Amino acid sequence: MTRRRLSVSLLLLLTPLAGCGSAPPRQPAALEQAGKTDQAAHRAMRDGDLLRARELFRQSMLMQQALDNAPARAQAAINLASVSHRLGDDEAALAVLEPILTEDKPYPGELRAAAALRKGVILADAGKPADAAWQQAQQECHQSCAYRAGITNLGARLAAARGDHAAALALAQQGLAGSPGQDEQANGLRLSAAAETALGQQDKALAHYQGALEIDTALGLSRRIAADLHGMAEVLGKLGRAGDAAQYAQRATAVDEAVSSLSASAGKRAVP
Amino acid sequence: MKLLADKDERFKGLFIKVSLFVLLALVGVMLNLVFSGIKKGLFTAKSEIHFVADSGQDIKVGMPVKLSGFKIGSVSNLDLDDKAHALVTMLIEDKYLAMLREDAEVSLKKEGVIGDSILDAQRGSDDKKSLRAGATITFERGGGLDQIAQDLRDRLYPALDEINKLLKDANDPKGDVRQTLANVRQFSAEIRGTRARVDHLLDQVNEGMSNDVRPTLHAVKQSAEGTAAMIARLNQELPGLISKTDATIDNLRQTSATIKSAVDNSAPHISGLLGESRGLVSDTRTILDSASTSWPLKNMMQPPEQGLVKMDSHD
Repeated sequence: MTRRRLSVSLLLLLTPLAGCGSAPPRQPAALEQAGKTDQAAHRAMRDGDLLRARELFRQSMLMQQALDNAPARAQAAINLASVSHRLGDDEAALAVLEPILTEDKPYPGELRAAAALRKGVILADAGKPADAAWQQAQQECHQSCAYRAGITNLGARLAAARGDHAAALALAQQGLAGSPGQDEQANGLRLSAAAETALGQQDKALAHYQGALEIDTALGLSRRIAADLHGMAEVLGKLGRAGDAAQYAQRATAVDEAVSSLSASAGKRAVP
Repeated sequence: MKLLADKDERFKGLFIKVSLFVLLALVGVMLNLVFSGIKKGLFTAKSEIHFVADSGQDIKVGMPVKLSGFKIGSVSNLDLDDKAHALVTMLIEDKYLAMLREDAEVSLKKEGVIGDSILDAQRGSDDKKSLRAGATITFERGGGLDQIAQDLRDRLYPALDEINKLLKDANDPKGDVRQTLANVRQFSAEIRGTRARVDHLLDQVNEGMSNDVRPTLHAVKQSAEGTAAMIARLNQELPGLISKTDATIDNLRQTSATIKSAVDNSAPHISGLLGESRGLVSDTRTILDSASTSWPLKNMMQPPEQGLVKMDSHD
């Protein structure tokens, strides 16, 4: 009797394990192909192969369009715009974003907000007016929107570019408060530090730059590490610590040179 | 002493029943063995055929021997002869042996890109006698990717050498082509000289026919003589020129034919190889995809990235 019970218990234990060994059910071929293309694009992006990532995101966008999947198409288009921007093709990046922002299709508000944020960043990087895109991003980004902190920090960037450092500081602090991710926290700290430097609050600026540098180093974002180091060199110079300022400036230049060399061999802005 | 009570109806004739059951089982096992043997050709009459290969590489005992895609036998033994060559013995079914001729050949081939190696038999010439048991036939190693690449190389290299030679000849100042061009250039210059002289003659005629009739006629005569000499020279050179041009064109035609033949012979293989390789890659990808989404591999692998690429206010 004991043996029978043991056998039954073993059988009951082993039966669920059989389920672990089975592969998940297959999707229809077209959906599976579209999903795989998107995954391959993400892999290429992670490996720094931007040209391949661009081609795969373009294919993914067309596949989703062929399947009349508007949200997935918009997602692929925003990703394509991100890669095109990194490759320096801003015109193409803006062209793929435009339909998401203007077409009357059932795109989720968060995707429209992401597209507007992407457009604003591209225009701000190019030194072009980005206020309209920023405002649209704010309108589309509702309470639970994941891009709230990014949009606020973009506003701080635009204010700083206008020379309105007080507004830039206020927005950056707002971005810091509402930032769920470390990258936007670092951006908020850097923007705060830059505004404080312009407003003559050097001690606060130095502390904020230091905070940004720690996060950026942990995230491995070379260009931002260089920006933090440059900012710290400037603040230290204003504080009269010329030796320290020279040291930070030297570190910043070394990072810049390495980034330029890597980008030259791996494609424009392949290094984050 | 009886172990079981005969009173029980169920045990009546038990020995006979058990014996019958065991007998039927034995008959079943025997029949199974017989059918398996027939299927595997154990009871088919076979004859030994031999061949000698430089090396026994890729040849194994049990390897099938096929004729037109049908298995007609297998390798039964491998041995080394006194010259360190591989002496291979095949067992060929007698009903197929009659199809092979004295000049039949076997070659080592692969079934597909990654398929097993087989011995592919070629029937031989119809006018030859049927192959006898114990005969030795010729063996050719080939058919793999290496062999195809080697064939392609062997055919393309002479063709490329020929093209190089032609180009070198064309660029050589003392070569046929340059010499021909130089001759044509010289001929053209001489024609221009002749025309100048004729022009001069006409001028003289216009200026004073009465005074200069004799020298003018003399000049005309000289011009005519020069032209005649030139035509004679041209007549001498033209056949040689034409024959050289013909030879050059022949060389080009042969080169073109060699390349075409090489490509024609290789193209079906290459196309098949590409198709099979593509299928192989696709199958491998399917297997890897399935494996990576199954336990336990799926727990070891990072989940695939999806959704929006990470972006922020500065990138």
